[in-house]
Amino acid sequence: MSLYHEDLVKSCFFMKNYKNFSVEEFMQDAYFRQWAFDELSSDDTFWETWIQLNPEKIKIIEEAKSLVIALKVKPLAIFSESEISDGIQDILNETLENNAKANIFRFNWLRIAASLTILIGIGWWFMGKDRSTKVYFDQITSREQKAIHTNNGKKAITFELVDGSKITLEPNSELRYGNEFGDKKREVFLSGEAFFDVKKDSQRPFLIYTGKLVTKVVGTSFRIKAYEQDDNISVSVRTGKVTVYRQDRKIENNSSLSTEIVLIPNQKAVFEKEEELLIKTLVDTPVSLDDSPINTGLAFEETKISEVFNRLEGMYGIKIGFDKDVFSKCTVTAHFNSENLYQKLDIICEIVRAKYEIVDGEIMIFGNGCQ
Amino acid sequence: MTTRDKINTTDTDDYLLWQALKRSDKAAYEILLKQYYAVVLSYGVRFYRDKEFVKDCVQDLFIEIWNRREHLGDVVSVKSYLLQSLRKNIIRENSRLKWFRDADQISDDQDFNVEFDIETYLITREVENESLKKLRLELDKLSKRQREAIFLRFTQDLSYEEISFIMGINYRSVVNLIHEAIKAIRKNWFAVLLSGILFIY
Repeated sequence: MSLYHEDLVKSCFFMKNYKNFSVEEFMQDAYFRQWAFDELSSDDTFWETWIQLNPEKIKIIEEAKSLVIALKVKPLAIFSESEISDGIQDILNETLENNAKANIFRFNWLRIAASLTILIGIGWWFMGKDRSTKVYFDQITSREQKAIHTNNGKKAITFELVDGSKITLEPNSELRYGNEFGDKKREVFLSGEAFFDVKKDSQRPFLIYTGKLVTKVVGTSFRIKAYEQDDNISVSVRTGKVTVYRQDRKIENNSSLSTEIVLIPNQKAVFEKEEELLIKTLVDTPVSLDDSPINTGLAFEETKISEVFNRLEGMYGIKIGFDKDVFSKCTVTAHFNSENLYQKLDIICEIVRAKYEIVDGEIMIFGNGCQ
Repeated sequence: MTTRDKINTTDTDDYLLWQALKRSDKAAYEILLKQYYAVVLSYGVRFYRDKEFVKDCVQDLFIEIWNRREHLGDVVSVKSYLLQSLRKNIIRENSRLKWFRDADQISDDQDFNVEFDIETYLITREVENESLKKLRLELDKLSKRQREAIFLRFTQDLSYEEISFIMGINYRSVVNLIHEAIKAIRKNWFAVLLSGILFIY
């Protein structure tokens, strides 16, 4: 097997026309580099033969060889074969179809239901002032029949879309979508406020267009607020995973990973309309994601702070960052019942003389530690 | 047939695998993962010595690619896309972690750890030479960006286009970074060469 491989490699090299190679091309050639580093087996005389046949190339060869040697980079922190194969196996396990979403949160509590609930509230702002939703809607559906659901009554109305998703439309709200909804894509345009119960379909993500903001649902529940009097639009996630991005991004060519925000439970995206800034933070009142009775009350007795933060991370699904060395001597004794996350953090921070900040949808603890 | 052809052949395979990956072909994903996992890892540790941290970043990157497979765009080359994404993620993650470090430990410039191995080569050949010291000085003078560009060019065998994409600087700058480095080394290295250390055959 290895012999076969070696022959294959060699025959490929022989096919190359090294005569036209520049110094840099030689430097980039793996076979040449092996020779320069004396790494070829002693019976491989390809390069010696080649030089004899091409004496006019000696200068280039010399230069390339010397530069290759001069620029040889020291290998760093080499990963063992087993570390590499384990790492690959980990990724393959994490990307098993049923596992893919759970991995994002890395908590066991997440159970993605087949049908999930979405609550969306959109202000009238879009209908009156911002035409971009309508314009885009008209563009993509101009040649198709458009479906428009309008609720001008005083009570919410509920209807089902062809994909099985249920929508509860609040008064003074409108939901529109094209004729091809459900075929390849699931795209809707919302003005006002609505409650979504989206049928899970990983092949066809559910997209909700609200002004300049697009919310992509992968199977989740969340709330969008976009009232006219507010300076911002916010998307708050209860369960699952939500992707939020700006609509002016090219929709077909969304290869950039950086222009969108992925939200996990208890995280919130805020879109500042004026500055057109999209930032990630936490919801106003994070809720416990684990409703098992064990976590309704929380008691710590001389508990190491790392364990306290671990419990809170698991409970709310929010990362808590702190310097383990600085806080290594800190312990917490406290009993919590109905306090919300921020109240708990206030108390803990008081005990260990620290402060906390919310940075990029995560909590950061700052302090000088304990004696 | 030139180096360019060789690279293009790999790129064609990668292109087909990438297209298959976008259609949720898990086998294609696995091939790309196995082909590039170690490569991406070895690039990552150049930025950050903490192996576990780098492993986490690389794992997140590959998982994100699978989870977003239906929304991936076309790429110049899979390798450069992976390296560029990892570079971006590490820099972002690192600046986030700065919150926990002392202010005086923080440098705005992202580190890139490349050291040259010329001594090892010459020591094993029992060679010592005055000109070597000059060469060493030249090598030490290379900037972080030059080191990164050299690493990508001559250890990872990437084209100028790919390096420009990965490092987020323009094509001309990459050419300059590398050519300035080679020029400086060549000048001193030839003195070493003339002293008869290197035997071509």
